[in-house]
Amino acid sequence: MRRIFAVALGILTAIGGFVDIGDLVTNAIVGSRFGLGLAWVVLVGVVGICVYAQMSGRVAAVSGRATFEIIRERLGPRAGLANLGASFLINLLTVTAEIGGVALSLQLATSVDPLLWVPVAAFGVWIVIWRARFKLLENVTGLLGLTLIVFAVALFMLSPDWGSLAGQALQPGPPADEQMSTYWFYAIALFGAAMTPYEVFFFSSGAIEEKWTEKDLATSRANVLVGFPLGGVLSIAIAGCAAVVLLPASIDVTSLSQVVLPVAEAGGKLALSFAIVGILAATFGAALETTLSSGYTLAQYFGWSWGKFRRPAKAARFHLAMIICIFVAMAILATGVDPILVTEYSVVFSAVALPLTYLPILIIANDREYMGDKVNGRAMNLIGSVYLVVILVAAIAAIPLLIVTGAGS
Amino acid sequence: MPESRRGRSKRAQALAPLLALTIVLSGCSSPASTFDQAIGQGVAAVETARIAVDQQLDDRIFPTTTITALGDARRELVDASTSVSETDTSTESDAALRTDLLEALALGVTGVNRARDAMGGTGSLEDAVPALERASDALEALEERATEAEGARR
Repeated sequence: MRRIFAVALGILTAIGGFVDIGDLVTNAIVGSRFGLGLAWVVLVGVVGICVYAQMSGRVAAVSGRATFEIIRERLGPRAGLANLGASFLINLLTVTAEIGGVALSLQLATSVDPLLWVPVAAFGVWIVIWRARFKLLENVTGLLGLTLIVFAVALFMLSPDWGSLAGQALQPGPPADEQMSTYWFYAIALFGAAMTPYEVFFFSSGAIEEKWTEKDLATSRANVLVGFPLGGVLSIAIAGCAAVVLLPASIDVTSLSQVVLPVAEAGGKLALSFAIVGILAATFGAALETTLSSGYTLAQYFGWSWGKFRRPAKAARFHLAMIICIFVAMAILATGVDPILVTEYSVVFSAVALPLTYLPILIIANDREYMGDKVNGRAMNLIGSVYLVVILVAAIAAIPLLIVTGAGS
Repeated sequence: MPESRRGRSKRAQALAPLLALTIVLSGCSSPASTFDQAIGQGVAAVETARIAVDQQLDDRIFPTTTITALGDARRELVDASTSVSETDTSTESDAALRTDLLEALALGVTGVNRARDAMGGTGSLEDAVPALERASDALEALEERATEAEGARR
Protein backbone atom coordinates (compact mmCIF):
# COMPACT_ATOMS: atom_id res chain seq x y z
CA MET A 1 0.00 0.00 0.00
CA ARG A 2 2.83 2.31 0.94
CA ARG A 3 4.52 1.55 -2.39
CA ILE A 4 1.33 2.30 -4.35
CA PHE A 5 1.03 5.59 -2.49
CA ALA A 6 4.66 6.43 -3.29
CA VAL A 7 4.14 5.68 -7.00
CA ALA A 8 0.89 7.70 -7.12
CA LEU A 9 2.52 10.63 -5.35
CA GLY A 10 5.49 10.48 -7.70
CA ILE A 11 3.21 10.48 -10.76
CA LEU A 12 1.11 13.36 -9.47
CA THR A 13 4.24 15.35 -8.65
CA ALA A 14 5.63 14.64 -12.12
CA ILE A 15 2.40 15.91 -13.74
CA GLY A 16 2.29 19.07 -11.64
CA GLY A 17 6.03 19.59 -11.94
CA PHE A 18 6.15 19.13 -15.71
CA VAL A 19 4.79 22.58 -16.55
CA ASP A 20 6.97 25.61 -15.87
CA ILE A 21 7.04 29.20 -17.14
CA GLY A 22 8.60 28.04 -20.43
CA ASP A 23 5.77 25.57 -21.09
CA LEU A 24 3.09 28.04 -20.01
CA VAL A 25 4.30 30.91 -22.15
CA THR A 26 5.43 28.94 -25.20
CA ASN A 27 2.28 26.83 -25.40
CA ALA A 28 0.08 29.91 -25.02
CA ILE A 29 2.03 31.81 -27.69
CA VAL A 30 1.88 28.86 -30.06
CA GLY A 31 -1.83 28.30 -29.40
CA SER A 32 -2.62 31.96 -30.03
CA ARG A 33 -0.69 31.99 -33.34
CA PHE A 34 -0.87 28.47 -34.77
CA GLY A 35 -3.84 26.91 -32.96
CA LEU A 36 -3.00 23.27 -32.32
CA GLY A 37 -0.81 23.17 -35.43
CA LEU A 38 2.26 22.49 -33.27
CA ALA A 39 0.68 19.98 -30.86
CA TRP A 40 2.77 17.25 -32.49
CA VAL A 41 5.92 18.95 -31.15
CA VAL A 42 4.63 18.54 -27.59
CA LEU A 43 4.24 14.82 -28.28
CA VAL A 44 7.77 14.62 -29.70
CA GLY A 45 9.10 16.61 -26.73
CA VAL A 46 7.30 14.49 -24.15
CA VAL A 47 8.61 11.23 -25.61
CA GLY A 48 12.07 12.83 -25.72
CA ILE A 49 12.03 13.93 -22.09
CA CYS A 50 10.76 10.47 -21.07
CA VAL A 51 13.70 8.83 -22.88
CA TYR A 52 16.20 11.33 -21.47
CA ALA A 53 14.90 11.29 -17.88
CA GLN A 54 14.51 7.53 -17.85
CA MET A 55 18.14 7.05 -18.96
CA SER A 56 19.59 9.62 -16.59
CA GLY A 57 17.51 8.30 -13.64
CA ARG A 58 18.74 4.77 -14.38
CA VAL A 59 22.34 5.95 -14.69
CA ALA A 60 22.09 7.75 -11.34
CA ALA A 61 20.38 4.84 -9.56
CA VAL A 62 22.75 2.16 -10.89
CA SER A 63 26.07 4.02 -10.88
CA GLY A 64 25.29 6.17 -7.83
CA ARG A 65 26.63 9.23 -9.70
CA ALA A 66 24.74 12.26 -11.00
CA THR A 67 24.96 13.78 -14.50
CA PHE A 68 27.86 16.21 -14.13
CA GLU A 69 30.07 13.88 -12.07
CA ILE A 70 29.88 11.45 -14.96
CA ILE A 71 30.26 14.10 -17.67
CA ARG A 72 33.53 15.25 -16.13
CA GLU A 73 34.71 11.69 -15.67
CA ARG A 74 33.91 10.65 -19.26
CA LEU A 75 34.69 13.83 -21.20
CA GLY A 76 37.67 14.98 -19.15
CA PRO A 77 38.02 18.31 -17.31
CA ARG A 78 38.36 20.59 -20.37
CA ALA A 79 35.48 19.33 -22.51
CA GLY A 80 33.50 18.87 -19.31
CA LEU A 81 34.14 22.51 -18.36
CA ALA A 82 32.91 23.77 -21.75
CA ASN A 83 29.84 21.59 -21.32
CA LEU A 84 29.33 22.90 -17.78
CA GLY A 85 29.73 26.53 -18.93
CA ALA A 86 27.03 26.28 -21.59
CA SER A 87 24.63 24.21 -19.47
CA PHE A 88 25.11 26.40 -16.41
CA LEU A 89 24.52 29.68 -18.27
CA ILE A 90 21.32 28.38 -19.84
CA ASN A 91 20.21 27.07 -16.48
CA LEU A 92 20.88 30.51 -14.99
CA LEU A 93 18.73 32.06 -17.71
CA THR A 94 15.99 29.60 -16.77
CA VAL A 95 16.34 30.49 -13.04
CA THR A 96 15.83 34.14 -14.07
CA ALA A 97 12.77 33.27 -16.14
CA GLU A 98 11.22 31.20 -13.34
CA ILE A 99 11.77 33.84 -10.63
CA GLY A 100 10.33 36.38 -13.06
CA GLY A 101 7.39 34.01 -13.58
CA VAL A 102 6.75 33.86 -9.83
CA ALA A 103 6.72 37.68 -9.74
CA LEU A 104 4.32 37.83 -12.71
CA SER A 105 1.92 35.31 -11.16
CA LEU A 106 1.94 37.29 -7.90
CA GLN A 107 1.14 40.37 -9.98
CA LEU A 108 -1.96 38.61 -11.35
CA ALA A 109 -3.19 38.11 -7.79
CA THR A 110 -2.28 41.55 -6.47
CA SER A 111 -1.70 43.93 -9.44
CA VAL A 112 1.49 45.05 -7.68
CA ASP A 113 4.39 45.72 -10.10
CA PRO A 114 6.37 42.49 -10.65
CA LEU A 115 9.65 44.30 -10.00
CA LEU A 116 8.55 44.69 -6.39
CA TRP A 117 7.78 40.97 -6.18
CA VAL A 118 11.16 39.86 -7.52
CA PRO A 119 13.06 40.19 -4.18
CA VAL A 120 10.17 38.48 -2.37
CA ALA A 121 10.18 35.61 -4.86
CA ALA A 122 13.97 35.31 -4.67
CA PHE A 123 13.91 35.27 -0.87
CA GLY A 124 11.15 32.64 -0.93
CA VAL A 125 13.22 30.42 -3.24
CA TRP A 126 16.32 30.77 -1.04
CA ILE A 127 14.56 30.13 2.28
CA VAL A 128 12.76 27.04 0.99
CA ILE A 129 15.99 25.62 -0.44
CA TRP A 130 17.79 26.41 2.81
CA ARG A 131 15.17 25.06 5.20
CA ALA A 132 12.79 22.59 3.54
CA ARG A 133 13.52 18.92 3.03
CA PHE A 134 13.98 17.74 -0.56
CA LYS A 135 10.91 15.51 -0.61
CA LEU A 136 8.73 18.24 0.88
CA LEU A 137 9.69 20.96 -1.60
CA GLU A 138 9.29 18.55 -4.53
CA ASN A 139 5.91 17.19 -3.45
CA VAL A 140 4.22 20.41 -2.27
CA THR A 141 4.96 22.42 -5.41
CA GLY A 142 4.24 19.42 -7.66
CA LEU A 143 0.87 18.74 -6.05
CA LEU A 144 -0.15 22.41 -6.04
CA GLY A 145 0.92 22.59 -9.69
CA LEU A 146 -1.77 20.00 -10.39
CA THR A 147 -4.32 22.81 -10.14
CA LEU A 148 -3.19 23.67 -13.68
CA ILE A 149 -5.58 20.89 -14.71
CA VAL A 150 -8.03 23.80 -14.73
CA PHE A 151 -6.72 24.59 -18.25
CA ALA A 152 -7.98 21.18 -19.43
CA VAL A 153 -11.31 21.72 -17.65
CA ALA A 154 -11.57 25.22 -19.14
CA LEU A 155 -11.00 23.85 -22.63
CA PHE A 156 -14.02 21.55 -22.23
CA MET A 157 -16.11 24.35 -20.68
CA LEU A 158 -15.36 26.61 -23.66
CA SER A 159 -17.20 24.06 -25.86
CA PRO A 160 -14.81 24.43 -28.78
CA ASP A 161 -15.33 23.05 -32.25
CA TRP A 162 -13.47 19.79 -31.57
CA GLY A 163 -13.40 18.94 -35.25
CA SER A 164 -11.60 22.16 -36.05
CA LEU A 165 -9.09 21.64 -33.21
CA ALA A 166 -8.46 18.07 -34.35
CA GLY A 167 -8.03 19.34 -37.91
CA GLN A 168 -5.38 21.82 -36.74
CA ALA A 169 -3.56 19.10 -34.81
CA LEU A 170 -3.72 16.49 -37.58
CA GLN A 171 -2.81 18.81 -40.45
CA PRO A 172 0.21 20.61 -39.05
CA GLY A 173 1.54 23.69 -40.77
CA PRO A 174 1.50 27.46 -40.41
CA PRO A 175 -1.66 29.50 -41.04
CA ALA A 176 -1.73 31.68 -44.17
CA ASP A 177 -0.51 34.79 -42.35
CA GLU A 178 2.51 33.09 -40.74
CA GLN A 179 5.90 32.30 -42.30
CA MET A 180 7.23 28.75 -42.44
CA SER A 181 10.44 29.90 -40.70
CA THR A 182 8.39 31.29 -37.78
CA TYR A 183 6.51 27.99 -37.57
CA TRP A 184 9.76 26.03 -37.25
CA PHE A 185 11.22 28.57 -34.83
CA TYR A 186 8.29 27.97 -32.48
CA ALA A 187 8.51 24.22 -33.07
CA ILE A 188 12.07 24.35 -31.69
CA ALA A 189 11.02 26.65 -28.83
CA LEU A 190 8.25 24.22 -27.88
CA PHE A 191 10.67 21.30 -28.10
CA GLY A 192 13.14 23.19 -25.89
CA ALA A 193 10.36 23.98 -23.40
CA ALA A 194 9.39 20.30 -23.15
CA MET A 195 12.99 19.03 -22.96
CA THR A 196 14.57 21.64 -20.68
CA PRO A 197 17.96 20.25 -19.49
CA TYR A 198 17.42 21.35 -15.87
CA GLU A 199 14.61 18.81 -15.53
CA VAL A 200 17.15 16.07 -16.09
CA PHE A 201 19.87 17.57 -13.84
CA PHE A 202 17.22 17.79 -11.13
CA PHE A 203 15.85 14.32 -11.82
CA SER A 204 19.23 12.57 -11.73
CA SER A 205 20.50 14.57 -8.74
CA GLY A 206 17.17 13.91 -7.01
CA ALA A 207 17.82 10.19 -7.48
CA ILE A 208 21.03 10.59 -5.46
CA GLU A 209 19.28 12.84 -2.90
CA GLU A 210 16.62 10.18 -2.37
CA LYS A 211 19.21 7.39 -2.39
CA TRP A 212 17.66 5.46 -5.25
CA THR A 213 18.91 1.97 -5.93
CA GLU A 214 18.11 -0.51 -8.70
CA LYS A 215 15.00 -1.44 -6.70
CA ASP A 216 13.60 2.05 -7.30
CA LEU A 217 13.89 1.86 -11.09
CA ALA A 218 10.31 0.63 -11.55
CA THR A 219 8.91 3.52 -9.51
CA SER A 220 11.06 6.00 -11.40
CA ARG A 221 9.91 4.52 -14.73
CA ALA A 222 6.26 4.85 -13.68
CA ASN A 223 6.77 8.48 -12.61
CA VAL A 224 8.36 9.35 -15.93
CA LEU A 225 6.23 7.29 -18.30
CA VAL A 226 2.88 8.24 -16.76
CA GLY A 227 3.57 11.63 -15.14
CA PHE A 228 5.36 13.38 -18.01
CA PRO A 229 2.84 12.42 -20.75
CA LEU A 230 -0.01 13.66 -18.54
CA GLY A 231 2.00 16.86 -18.02
CA GLY A 232 2.17 17.05 -21.82
CA VAL A 233 -1.63 16.86 -21.95
CA LEU A 234 -1.71 19.95 -19.69
CA SER A 235 0.64 21.73 -22.13
CA ILE A 236 -1.69 20.95 -25.05
CA ALA A 237 -4.67 22.15 -22.98
CA ILE A 238 -2.92 25.51 -22.44
CA ALA A 239 -2.36 25.81 -26.19
CA GLY A 240 -5.95 24.69 -26.82
CA CYS A 241 -7.39 27.39 -24.55
CA ALA A 242 -5.34 30.04 -26.36
CA ALA A 243 -6.42 28.61 -29.72
CA VAL A 244 -10.11 28.84 -28.81
CA VAL A 245 -10.24 32.28 -27.18
CA LEU A 246 -7.17 34.28 -28.22
CA LEU A 247 -6.51 33.15 -31.81
CA PRO A 248 -9.95 34.25 -33.16
CA ALA A 249 -9.43 37.67 -31.53
CA SER A 250 -5.98 38.03 -33.20
CA ILE A 251 -4.29 38.17 -29.80
CA ASP A 252 -0.64 37.10 -29.96
CA VAL A 253 0.36 36.28 -26.41
CA THR A 254 3.01 38.58 -24.96
CA SER A 255 2.09 38.51 -21.26
CA LEU A 256 1.01 36.09 -18.55
CA SER A 257 -2.22 38.04 -18.01
CA GLN A 258 -3.34 36.97 -21.50
CA VAL A 259 -2.63 33.30 -20.72
CA VAL A 260 -5.29 33.22 -17.97
CA LEU A 261 -8.03 35.09 -19.87
CA PRO A 262 -9.45 31.91 -21.50
CA VAL A 263 -9.69 30.26 -18.08
CA ALA A 264 -11.64 33.22 -16.65
CA GLU A 265 -13.82 33.18 -19.77
CA ALA A 266 -14.67 29.53 -19.19
CA GLY A 267 -14.95 29.22 -15.45
CA GLY A 268 -15.00 32.70 -13.93
CA LYS A 269 -13.23 33.59 -10.71
CA LEU A 270 -13.12 30.08 -9.28
CA ALA A 271 -11.30 28.69 -12.30
CA LEU A 272 -9.08 31.76 -12.43
CA SER A 273 -8.04 31.30 -8.80
CA PHE A 274 -7.03 27.69 -9.57
CA ALA A 275 -5.05 28.90 -12.58
CA ILE A 276 -3.19 31.55 -10.57
CA VAL A 277 -2.36 29.07 -7.77
CA GLY A 278 -1.21 26.57 -10.38
CA ILE A 279 0.98 29.07 -12.21
CA LEU A 280 2.47 30.27 -8.93
CA ALA A 281 3.19 26.70 -7.81
CA ALA A 282 4.58 25.69 -11.21
CA THR A 283 6.91 28.68 -11.49
CA PHE A 284 7.96 28.54 -7.84
CA GLY A 285 8.59 24.80 -8.04
CA ALA A 286 10.60 25.27 -11.22
CA ALA A 287 12.52 28.17 -9.61
CA LEU A 288 13.51 25.78 -6.80
CA GLU A 289 14.47 23.05 -9.25
CA THR A 290 16.52 25.32 -11.52
CA THR A 291 18.30 26.96 -8.58
CA LEU A 292 19.11 23.54 -7.13
CA SER A 293 20.22 22.40 -10.59
CA SER A 294 22.67 25.32 -10.74
CA GLY A 295 24.17 24.20 -7.43
CA TYR A 296 24.14 20.55 -8.50
CA THR A 297 25.93 21.10 -11.80
CA LEU A 298 28.71 23.25 -10.28
CA ALA A 299 29.19 21.06 -7.20
CA GLN A 300 29.17 17.82 -9.17
CA TYR A 301 31.69 19.10 -11.70
CA PHE A 302 34.08 20.64 -9.14
CA GLY A 303 33.70 17.77 -6.69
CA TRP A 304 32.22 19.86 -3.87
CA SER A 305 30.10 18.33 -1.17
CA TRP A 306 26.49 18.73 -2.30
CA GLY A 307 22.93 17.72 -1.60
CA LYS A 308 19.88 18.72 0.38
CA PHE A 309 20.41 15.61 2.50
CA ARG A 310 23.46 17.37 3.98
CA ARG A 311 23.17 20.31 6.38
CA PRO A 312 24.07 23.64 4.66
CA ALA A 313 27.24 23.91 6.77
CA LYS A 314 28.39 20.58 5.34
CA ALA A 315 27.73 21.70 1.75
CA ALA A 316 28.69 25.36 2.04
CA ARG A 317 29.96 25.94 -1.52
CA PHE A 318 26.89 24.22 -2.96
CA HIS A 319 24.61 26.58 -1.04
CA LEU A 320 26.77 29.64 -1.72
CA ALA A 321 26.67 28.92 -5.47
CA MET A 322 22.86 28.83 -5.34
CA ILE A 323 22.68 32.10 -3.38
CA ILE A 324 24.91 33.77 -6.00
CA CYS A 325 22.68 32.41 -8.79
CA ILE A 326 19.60 33.85 -7.09
CA PHE A 327 21.32 37.24 -6.78
CA VAL A 328 22.38 37.20 -10.44
CA ALA A 329 18.81 36.35 -11.50
CA MET A 330 17.51 39.21 -9.34
CA ALA A 331 20.04 41.59 -10.87
CA ILE A 332 18.99 40.62 -14.40
CA LEU A 333 15.31 41.13 -13.57
CA ALA A 334 16.06 44.43 -11.82
CA THR A 335 17.13 45.87 -15.18
CA GLY A 336 13.43 45.81 -16.09
CA VAL A 337 13.83 43.12 -18.76
CA ASP A 338 10.52 41.42 -19.56
CA PRO A 339 10.49 37.97 -17.88
CA ILE A 340 8.40 36.65 -20.79
CA LEU A 341 11.18 37.65 -23.20
CA VAL A 342 13.75 35.94 -20.94
CA THR A 343 11.53 32.85 -21.00
CA GLU A 344 11.32 32.85 -24.79
CA TYR A 345 15.10 33.01 -25.11
CA SER A 346 15.66 30.45 -22.35
CA VAL A 347 13.56 27.77 -24.10
CA VAL A 348 15.32 28.35 -27.43
CA PHE A 349 18.79 28.20 -25.85
CA SER A 350 17.73 25.11 -23.92
CA ALA A 351 17.27 23.42 -27.28
CA VAL A 352 20.72 24.66 -28.34
CA ALA A 353 22.42 23.22 -25.25
CA LEU A 354 20.51 19.95 -25.13
CA PRO A 355 23.03 17.77 -27.04
CA LEU A 356 25.77 18.71 -24.57
CA THR A 357 24.17 16.69 -21.79
CA TYR A 358 22.05 14.27 -23.80
CA LEU A 359 24.95 12.68 -25.68
CA PRO A 360 27.09 11.83 -22.59
CA ILE A 361 24.05 10.30 -20.88
CA LEU A 362 23.30 8.20 -23.98
CA ILE A 363 26.92 7.00 -24.07
CA ILE A 364 27.06 6.16 -20.37
CA ALA A 365 23.70 4.40 -20.48
CA ASN A 366 25.48 1.95 -22.83
CA ASP A 367 28.65 1.62 -20.77
CA ARG A 368 28.83 -1.72 -18.90
CA GLU A 369 31.59 -0.36 -16.65
CA TYR A 370 29.05 2.02 -15.09
CA MET A 371 25.80 0.21 -15.74
CA GLY A 372 26.59 -3.52 -15.52
CA ASP A 373 23.65 -5.42 -17.03
CA LYS A 374 21.37 -2.33 -16.80
CA VAL A 375 22.65 -0.86 -20.08
CA ASN A 376 20.19 0.33 -22.73
CA GLY A 377 18.32 -2.38 -24.61
CA ARG A 378 18.09 -2.36 -28.40
CA ALA A 379 14.73 -0.56 -28.51
CA MET A 380 15.96 2.10 -26.09
CA ASN A 381 19.12 2.61 -28.13
CA LEU A 382 17.12 2.94 -31.33
CA ILE A 383 14.79 5.57 -29.91
CA GLY A 384 17.71 7.23 -28.08
CA SER A 385 19.64 7.51 -31.37
CA VAL A 386 16.62 8.87 -33.26
CA TYR A 387 16.27 11.52 -30.58
CA LEU A 388 19.97 12.33 -30.76
CA VAL A 389 19.43 13.25 -34.42
CA VAL A 390 16.28 15.27 -33.62
CA ILE A 391 18.09 17.10 -30.80
CA LEU A 392 21.10 17.86 -33.00
CA VAL A 393 18.94 19.21 -35.82
CA ALA A 394 16.99 21.39 -33.37
CA ALA A 395 20.20 22.66 -31.75
CA ILE A 396 21.80 23.54 -35.09
CA ALA A 397 18.68 25.22 -36.52
CA ALA A 398 17.72 27.19 -33.39
CA ILE A 399 20.04 30.20 -33.64
CA PRO A 400 19.72 30.76 -37.42
CA LEU A 401 15.93 30.63 -37.05
CA LEU A 402 16.11 32.98 -34.06
CA ILE A 403 17.96 35.52 -36.23
CA VAL A 404 15.94 35.08 -39.42
CA THR A 405 12.56 35.34 -37.68
CA GLY A 406 13.59 38.11 -35.28
CA ALA A 407 12.86 35.77 -32.34
CA GLY A 408 9.56 34.71 -33.81
CA SER A 409 8.17 38.19 -34.39
CA MET B 1 27.78 32.63 -71.87
CA PRO B 2 25.19 30.44 -70.20
CA GLU B 3 27.76 28.65 -67.99
CA SER B 4 29.06 31.82 -66.41
CA ARG B 5 25.55 33.20 -66.04
CA ARG B 6 24.58 30.00 -64.20
CA GLY B 7 27.67 30.35 -62.07
CA ARG B 8 26.78 33.95 -61.23
CA SER B 9 23.24 32.88 -60.46
CA LYS B 10 24.53 30.17 -58.11
CA ARG B 11 26.81 32.65 -56.39
CA ALA B 12 23.93 35.08 -56.06
CA GLN B 13 21.75 32.31 -54.60
CA ALA B 14 24.47 31.45 -52.12
CA LEU B 15 24.91 35.08 -51.16
CA ALA B 16 21.18 35.81 -50.79
CA PRO B 17 20.79 34.22 -47.33
CA LEU B 18 23.96 36.00 -46.21
CA LEU B 19 22.57 39.30 -47.45
CA ALA B 20 19.24 38.62 -45.74
CA LEU B 21 21.10 37.79 -42.54
CA THR B 22 23.14 40.98 -42.78
CA ILE B 23 19.97 43.04 -43.28
CA VAL B 24 18.29 41.38 -40.31
CA LEU B 25 21.38 41.74 -38.13
CA SER B 26 21.81 45.38 -39.01
CA GLY B 27 18.28 46.01 -37.85
CA CYS B 28 17.03 47.27 -41.20
CA SER B 29 13.32 46.74 -41.69
CA SER B 30 10.97 48.43 -44.10
CA PRO B 31 8.30 50.88 -42.87
CA ALA B 32 5.67 48.41 -44.14
CA SER B 33 6.90 45.60 -41.92
CA THR B 34 7.21 47.93 -38.90
CA PHE B 35 3.63 49.14 -39.50
CA ASP B 36 2.33 45.57 -39.95
CA GLN B 37 3.93 44.56 -36.70
CA ALA B 38 2.59 47.64 -34.88
CA ILE B 39 -0.94 47.01 -36.19
CA GLY B 40 -0.76 43.39 -34.99
CA GLN B 41 0.56 44.53 -31.63
CA GLY B 42 -2.14 47.17 -31.35
CA VAL B 43 -4.96 44.81 -32.31
CA ALA B 44 -3.74 42.21 -29.79
CA ALA B 45 -3.51 44.81 -27.01
CA VAL B 46 -6.93 46.36 -27.68
CA GLU B 47 -8.64 42.97 -27.99
CA THR B 48 -6.97 41.83 -24.74
CA ALA B 49 -8.29 44.95 -23.00
CA ARG B 50 -11.78 44.35 -24.45
CA ILE B 51 -11.88 40.76 -23.19
CA ALA B 52 -10.60 41.79 -19.75
CA VAL B 53 -13.16 44.62 -19.50
CA ASP B 54 -16.02 42.35 -20.65
CA GLN B 55 -15.01 39.73 -18.10
CA GLN B 56 -14.80 42.40 -15.38
CA LEU B 57 -18.28 43.67 -16.27
CA ASP B 58 -19.55 40.05 -16.02
CA ASP B 59 -17.70 39.64 -12.69
CA ARG B 60 -15.75 36.68 -14.09
CA ILE B 61 -12.26 37.99 -13.29
CA PHE B 62 -10.45 39.43 -10.28
CA PRO B 63 -9.94 43.22 -10.40
CA THR B 64 -6.22 42.65 -9.82
CA THR B 65 -6.00 40.48 -12.94
CA THR B 66 -7.98 43.03 -14.98
CA ILE B 67 -5.66 45.84 -13.87
CA THR B 68 -2.64 43.69 -14.78
CA ALA B 69 -4.08 42.82 -18.20
CA LEU B 70 -4.88 46.48 -18.88
CA GLY B 71 -1.39 47.53 -17.78
CA ASP B 72 0.17 44.95 -20.10
CA ALA B 73 -2.10 46.11 -22.97
CA ARG B 74 -1.11 49.73 -22.44
CA ARG B 75 2.59 48.83 -22.44
CA GLU B 76 2.14 47.03 -25.79
CA LEU B 77 0.27 50.00 -27.28
CA VAL B 78 2.93 52.45 -26.13
CA ASP B 79 5.70 50.17 -27.51
CA ALA B 80 3.93 49.96 -30.86
CA SER B 81 3.38 53.71 -30.89
CA THR B 82 7.05 54.38 -30.15
CA SER B 83 8.29 52.10 -32.91
CA VAL B 84 5.88 53.67 -35.44
CA SER B 85 6.76 57.24 -34.49
CA GLU B 86 10.48 56.45 -34.86
CA THR B 87 10.02 55.06 -38.39
CA ASP B 88 11.14 57.12 -41.39
CA THR B 89 9.00 56.98 -44.49
CA SER B 90 9.84 57.63 -48.12
CA THR B 91 6.37 57.83 -49.72
CA GLU B 92 3.26 59.93 -49.16
CA SER B 93 1.11 56.86 -48.54
CA ASP B 94 3.51 55.49 -45.90
CA ALA B 95 3.57 58.88 -44.17
CA ALA B 96 -0.25 59.01 -44.17
CA LEU B 97 -0.40 55.44 -42.83
CA ARG B 98 2.01 56.37 -40.05
CA THR B 99 -0.17 59.34 -39.01
CA ASP B 100 -3.37 57.25 -39.03
CA LEU B 101 -1.69 54.38 -37.19
CA LEU B 102 -0.44 56.69 -34.45
CA GLU B 103 -3.98 58.06 -34.09
CA ALA B 104 -5.47 54.56 -33.85
CA LEU B 105 -2.90 53.49 -31.26
CA ALA B 106 -3.59 56.67 -29.29
CA LEU B 107 -7.30 55.79 -29.35
CA GLY B 108 -6.38 52.42 -27.91
CA VAL B 109 -4.31 54.01 -25.16
CA THR B 110 -7.24 56.33 -24.35
CA GLY B 111 -9.61 53.37 -24.08
CA VAL B 112 -7.24 51.37 -21.90
CA ASN B 113 -6.55 54.40 -19.68
CA ARG B 114 -10.27 54.98 -19.28
CA ALA B 115 -10.69 51.36 -18.17
CA ARG B 116 -7.71 51.57 -15.79
CA ASP B 117 -9.11 54.79 -14.32
CA ALA B 118 -12.50 53.11 -13.83
CA MET B 119 -10.80 50.22 -12.04
CA GLY B 120 -9.23 52.81 -9.75
CA GLY B 121 -12.63 54.37 -9.02
CA THR B 122 -12.59 57.24 -11.52
CA GLY B 123 -15.43 57.03 -14.05
CA SER B 124 -17.35 54.02 -15.22
CA LEU B 125 -15.97 50.86 -16.82
CA GLU B 126 -18.86 50.88 -19.34
CA ASP B 127 -17.49 54.17 -20.72
CA ALA B 128 -14.27 52.41 -21.70
CA VAL B 129 -16.12 49.96 -23.96
CA PRO B 130 -16.99 52.39 -26.81
CA ALA B 131 -13.50 53.89 -26.70
CA LEU B 132 -11.96 50.43 -27.08
CA GLU B 133 -14.42 49.59 -29.87
CA ARG B 134 -13.43 52.73 -31.76
CA ALA B 135 -9.75 51.82 -31.43
CA SER B 136 -10.49 48.27 -32.57
CA ASP B 137 -12.40 49.51 -35.64
CA ALA B 138 -9.64 51.97 -36.53
CA LEU B 139 -6.94 49.31 -36.25
CA GLU B 140 -8.97 46.80 -38.28
CA ALA B 141 -9.44 49.40 -41.04
CA LEU B 142 -5.71 50.04 -41.05
CA GLU B 143 -5.04 46.31 -41.19
CA GLU B 144 -7.14 46.09 -44.36
CA ARG B 145 -5.43 49.16 -45.82
CA ALA B 146 -2.00 47.69 -45.11
CA THR B 147 -3.01 44.38 -46.72
CA GLU B 148 -4.27 46.20 -49.83
CA ALA B 149 -1.07 48.25 -50.02
CA GLU B 150 0.97 45.06 -49.71
CA GLY B 151 -1.09 43.51 -52.53
CA ALA B 152 -0.52 46.55 -54.74
CA ARG B 153 3.25 46.40 -54.10
CA ARG B 154 3.31 42.75 -55.24
